Amino acid sequence: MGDDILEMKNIDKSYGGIHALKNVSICLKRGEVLCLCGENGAGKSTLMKILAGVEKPTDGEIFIEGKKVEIEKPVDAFRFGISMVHQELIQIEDMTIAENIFAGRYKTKGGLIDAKELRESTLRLLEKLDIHFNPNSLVRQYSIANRQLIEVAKAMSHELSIIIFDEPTAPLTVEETENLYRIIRKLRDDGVAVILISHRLEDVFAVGDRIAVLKDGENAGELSVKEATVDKIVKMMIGRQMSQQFPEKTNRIGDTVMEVRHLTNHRIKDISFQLRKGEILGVAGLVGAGRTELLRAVFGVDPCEGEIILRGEKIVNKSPIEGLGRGFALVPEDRKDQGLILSQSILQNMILSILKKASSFGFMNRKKETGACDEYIHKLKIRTPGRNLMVSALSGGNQQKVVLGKCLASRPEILLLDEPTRGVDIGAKAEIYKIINDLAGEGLSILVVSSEMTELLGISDRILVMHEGHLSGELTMEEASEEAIMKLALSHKENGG
Amino acid sequence: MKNKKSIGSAVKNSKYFELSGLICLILIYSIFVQAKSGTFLTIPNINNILKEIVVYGILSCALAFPLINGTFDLSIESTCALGGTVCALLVTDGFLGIKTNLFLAIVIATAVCSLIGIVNGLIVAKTKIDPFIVTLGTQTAVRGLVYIVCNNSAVTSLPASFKNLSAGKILGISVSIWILLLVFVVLAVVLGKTAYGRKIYAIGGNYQAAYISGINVKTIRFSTYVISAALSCIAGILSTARVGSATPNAATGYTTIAISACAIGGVSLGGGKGLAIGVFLGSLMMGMITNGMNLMFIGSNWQLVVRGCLMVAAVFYAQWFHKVSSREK
Repeated sequence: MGDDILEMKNIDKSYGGIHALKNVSICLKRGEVLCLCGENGAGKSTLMKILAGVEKPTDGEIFIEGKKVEIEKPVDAFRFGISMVHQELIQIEDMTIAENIFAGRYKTKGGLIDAKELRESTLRLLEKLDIHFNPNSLVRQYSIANRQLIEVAKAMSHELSIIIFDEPTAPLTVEETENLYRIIRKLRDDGVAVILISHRLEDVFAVGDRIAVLKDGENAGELSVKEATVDKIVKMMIGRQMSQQFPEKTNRIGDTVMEVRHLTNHRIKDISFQLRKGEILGVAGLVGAGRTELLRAVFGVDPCEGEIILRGEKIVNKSPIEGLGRGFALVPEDRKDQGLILSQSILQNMILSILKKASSFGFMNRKKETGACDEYIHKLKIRTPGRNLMVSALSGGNQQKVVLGKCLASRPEILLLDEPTRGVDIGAKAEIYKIINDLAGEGLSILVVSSEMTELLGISDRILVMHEGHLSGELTMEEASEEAIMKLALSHKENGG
Repeated sequence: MKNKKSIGSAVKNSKYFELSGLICLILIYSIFVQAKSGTFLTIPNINNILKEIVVYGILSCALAFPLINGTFDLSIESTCALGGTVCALLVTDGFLGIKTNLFLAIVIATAVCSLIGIVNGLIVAKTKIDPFIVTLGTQTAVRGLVYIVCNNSAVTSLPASFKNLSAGKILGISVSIWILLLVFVVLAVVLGKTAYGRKIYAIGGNYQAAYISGINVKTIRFSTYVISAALSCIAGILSTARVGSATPNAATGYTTIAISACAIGGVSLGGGKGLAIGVFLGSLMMGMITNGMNLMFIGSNWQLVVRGCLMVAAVFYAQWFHKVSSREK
């Protein structure tokens, strides 16, 4: 125990009724890279938020260099030398690098900020990392990869002993990832303890020393990278048998309903594919590969060139109104931002797309609207005391079902699902998979984007893979595996363009 | 079937529950002023209060449309003055050489004011300029137009028919009060019962979600400004009828009162929330403050101070009430 810089012991965390962490313990040595693995919702981020002082544990103890400490606020974490590079970077885009790094801690001279000192201390930090940015340039100008490095520099501006990276490589290109590996190794060699949360096992093998796996909020085992294999890690991560989470496929695939030809806009390049009746077509790819943009272009949210052949007719949706009119419906990626009106009731949300149908002569028809609403509350098993409850009072899974219900109420033939299970607990996930499967069974054609590969492998009939706006490949379920998807997601196969 | 508990929670979960705070405030204030002056709760005085709130009550309704839709309209007070002036000119000296009877004058004035709404609506819906800035611009520009149209002087010697819009009575109640009540009833029906109302709430609550759900967000947003301008015009005409002349600086500062009335009445300045009855109670509260303090012989300067404090206090109170009620759910 002597050289452990950090020990988190028997950490428990529950949110309301959800037990996010159960008795989790990890320890960390100086100059070590610990990789925290696990599926989405396994509790990795929650554990790290506790360490960074963003969340408070319900129970458990944290020891730093053998001493028991209380980390109540982010400031406490800084004091103990703990910094976190968040998945969604928290930076003030319209301030300079130097201002971001030293925000709130400016050295002053006669009451004014000492600009020279600020610039120089920033330069010193950046030099340590071997990066050459102008400290006085705005953060807005830099790519996500470079902003991460700025964040690392910020972490180093404190007395740094532990640094946490949350999914740092997800949005990075191959070269950018290599550069980040180099920085992580450098930090490690300087005696900093690194915790790396990553979905990508490549990261683990490239820079990790030791792996700790979490599953459903519990420790699922540890092993050193030297003795680890992909199989071993995946087995620890998944544990449970896949068949239980995903429903048995009952849908029957019919003729082609929609053919997308050469769809192009500023984010997607020359995308062509076909979708058949009753088919669940998965779309895989890394963050920023253009998957969301593809759905938005098909639905008519974003303008695009190219054409869609729908039941033999050439069309392009120019607005969501046109999209809905032609039998499309979109469940957007972010339900709070784009899916729901949080300040309104389930009923009001549910009938948003069918206001015309649920009204007569412009006046709402109580019978029609409550009928449509109750139908989907019942069909999707939304757990609520009543249809007049504010959607903000529902759990994530039930909120997602309301968005789904709103889309289904318009009786679509082509359902576009963007991350349908994001931020939804495991039980609700399984329910949503079953709903998707049942809908396909009823003859809906479904295009589903997901960052969770197990999910795509579990529910799809076919998988498209995107890379930097291009379609880099198509996999049948026989060919598809996490490795096969990853290979296509990382390396774009030139196809004439 | 229904036990006490479910009735209690039905009341609490009702969207009207938030207003109970304001109703309490109105009751307490009434009892207080009544105790001090003795004439506050008499029928003639209540009539006075209602007459008092005709103009800014209708202006509050005008503002409620863009507010619930998630935008702002600061130009209502200038549009109100323009409406009053144009209407008065049409029945007296003539506007752009046109002289008409009162009914046509009202129609034309409303059409002219709707143009202001169209300009506001087009700019807000089609560009990304903040509605606050857009309508601050039109507020200033339209006020200039009012001075130009009436040539820097008040329009006086209105025909009796015009003044009767305020002085005339139906069933013992002023015509203008009937119009006020009618506007509120229409507001309540449009917001509460129509698909159009649902769209207004949806866009104000979450623009992106409304757009993706297939709501014609831009058209609706545009239309709220036209409605707002038309209602402002009606307020302006009634104001002119009451005073007996159209002055170019009429309704100055009324936007602030309308914002206060809406905010006190529970209309969210961020959009997506608000009820017609709330706007009515908010306007009523504003009218009662002025009237009650006049009865208590408090000077108009102090009235401003009290009105300002009360507005902040009332909104704070409403939020606190909301928090307490949602905690107990």
